[in-house]
Amino acid sequence: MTRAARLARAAPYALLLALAGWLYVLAGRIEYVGPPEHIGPGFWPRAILGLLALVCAWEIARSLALSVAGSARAILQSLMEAAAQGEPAAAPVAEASPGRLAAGMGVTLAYVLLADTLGFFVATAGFLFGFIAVGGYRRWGIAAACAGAGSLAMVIVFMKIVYVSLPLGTEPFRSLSLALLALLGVR
Amino acid sequence: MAEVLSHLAGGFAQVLTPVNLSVLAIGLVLGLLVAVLPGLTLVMGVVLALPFTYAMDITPAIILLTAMYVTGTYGGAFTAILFRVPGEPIDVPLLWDGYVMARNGLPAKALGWTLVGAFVGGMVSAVVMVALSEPVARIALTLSTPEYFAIIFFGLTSVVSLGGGSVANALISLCLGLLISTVGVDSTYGAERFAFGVPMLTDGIEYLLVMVGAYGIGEVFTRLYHGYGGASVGGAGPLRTELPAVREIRRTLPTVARSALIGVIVGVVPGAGATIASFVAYGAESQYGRRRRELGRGIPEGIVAPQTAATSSVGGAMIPLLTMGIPGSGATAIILGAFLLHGVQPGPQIFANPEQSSMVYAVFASMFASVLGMCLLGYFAIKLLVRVLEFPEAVVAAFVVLFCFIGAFAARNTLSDLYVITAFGILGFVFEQLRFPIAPLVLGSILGPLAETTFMTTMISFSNDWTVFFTRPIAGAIMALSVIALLWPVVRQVRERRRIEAKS
Repeated sequence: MTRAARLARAAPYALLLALAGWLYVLAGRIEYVGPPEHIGPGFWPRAILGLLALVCAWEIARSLALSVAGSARAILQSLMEAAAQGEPAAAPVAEASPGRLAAGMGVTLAYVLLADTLGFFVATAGFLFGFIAVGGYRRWGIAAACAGAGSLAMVIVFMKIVYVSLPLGTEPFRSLSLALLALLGVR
Repeated sequence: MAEVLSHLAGGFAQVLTPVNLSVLAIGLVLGLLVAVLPGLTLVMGVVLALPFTYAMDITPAIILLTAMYVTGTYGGAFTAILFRVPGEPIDVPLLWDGYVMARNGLPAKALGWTLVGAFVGGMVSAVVMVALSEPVARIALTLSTPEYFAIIFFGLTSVVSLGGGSVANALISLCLGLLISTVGVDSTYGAERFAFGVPMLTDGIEYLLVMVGAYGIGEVFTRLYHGYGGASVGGAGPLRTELPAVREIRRTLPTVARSALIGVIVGVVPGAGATIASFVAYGAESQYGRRRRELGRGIPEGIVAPQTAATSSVGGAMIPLLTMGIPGSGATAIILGAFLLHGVQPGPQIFANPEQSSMVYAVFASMFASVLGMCLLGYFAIKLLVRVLEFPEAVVAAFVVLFCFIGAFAARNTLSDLYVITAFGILGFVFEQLRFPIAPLVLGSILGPLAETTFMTTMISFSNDWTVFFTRPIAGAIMALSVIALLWPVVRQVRERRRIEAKS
């Protein structure tokens, strides 16, 4: 294992160790009112953080030390752990695509950010269309129909049957949402 | 016993009302559809159904979710056996003999064996659940906080040890889950922890958000990253189920009995679940089965063992949930959420309240009805069910994310929860990439508050004497089991490494 690979393996643990250390300090400063002989509200999180830090430190040490000899033991260990994780359920069909993932996350975040402004119906229709497109589906007519009909179905189910109060949006989308609800008979 | 049977008869009368029966039928169909679709796990299915239960009474709500939970352990067998696409991780062992039997020209027979396994496993676990729940609840009433903490601690260590893979990563995942549960105002002193002045964090992070985000949205992101796949229904061959003859079933009885027992026990252990039951039962068959040398060549025992154990784990998992309020698996955690949303706290007192006891027996009766209905649906409706595979996964995935959002939003009607589940969706994806298991994270966030409350109460009641966890007989025995559970995977890895090193 190269030095870069060792550092890459240790990096997430180092990050978690730093986070644990910072939170441990914060947990020691929690203000509370209670009898001094009792353990305070910081004890439980500090116990967890202590364990977290210990495990992270162990993994960092293992990452850096085990592979020094380029050792077969390190390779064996990682192979055993990979095997124990189990085989993936189904072989992926397409190549891994960070771009597709970023686009999917982007559409999801946009939905969360805009739902309050656009209202549930418009935001959901847009999200469904966007996410279906990002997933690689290219029959645009069907995708648009799924998005529109799906969003409308959700409005009917959740506002008319299950009585969940979904966001209406701000003007002019609010008027559109209210008109749609009036059309569906939702008061 | 007569009293239990009389309560159960009352439960059946409730289940057979038109509303409850309709809800049960919907739950069965939805559970099978969710299990058939790769990428939608049974936990996700139960999560997605949760918002629909808000407007229901508690009995139909729990019947719906339980029916989905039961059928979720069975539906994926179709795609695993016919298309080599396991709908759930539970179904992976079915590839080893079920798919091989199908490839050997006996797909209908392979499906028949899964039906036998699911039916027997489901019925056995329902009987055990009915027989044990009240006695366990009576015992639970006598337990004090050290024993409760020990039981929860055992659940937490079990999820670390049974998960497979790196113990260190599982421990880290568990610690993060426990840490998430400490965010907000603590229940003992009312002190604010890790909220950083953000109102959203002061209210605490609901475990439902962790669960829906990490399991649901995280899984969609993972599949999006790797590219969607699918199975063609066209190449499935004859889509029917052929039941094995009675004499053939008789030959597999030891396997069925062993696997049902494994399923129930694994189900009872908090932190384990249907997937682990399925793998453990196949492992036990490969060690103790009469035809162990033929496993992997498409023999009935290799199909019956994992299927029986998976379905029988459901009844086992419901016991700690109903009798102690401790959810041991993802699906039971969602069911606990449904109980709490309807103002009912499961626990030892549930049988003392006549109204709640009657509801619990309706749930028991619905288990029997679910198993029967699931098998009938599986036998007669399989052709229709696998058609769901023709849906483009890109469309299904978009709706899964949407349902996750609606489920999260509807629980508290706050849009800020959507940010939280998106964050946990991204965390779930990162966990998958770094090979950190998600189950300990979720279980930590579910059991964290209970663990902390029981720990703090014990410390206050016993003057900070932590040795009570080890000196009281029941608590001590459970803590010893926990330590063994935690050390076992380390010992196993060391032994395995030595064995391989010795060979090479």
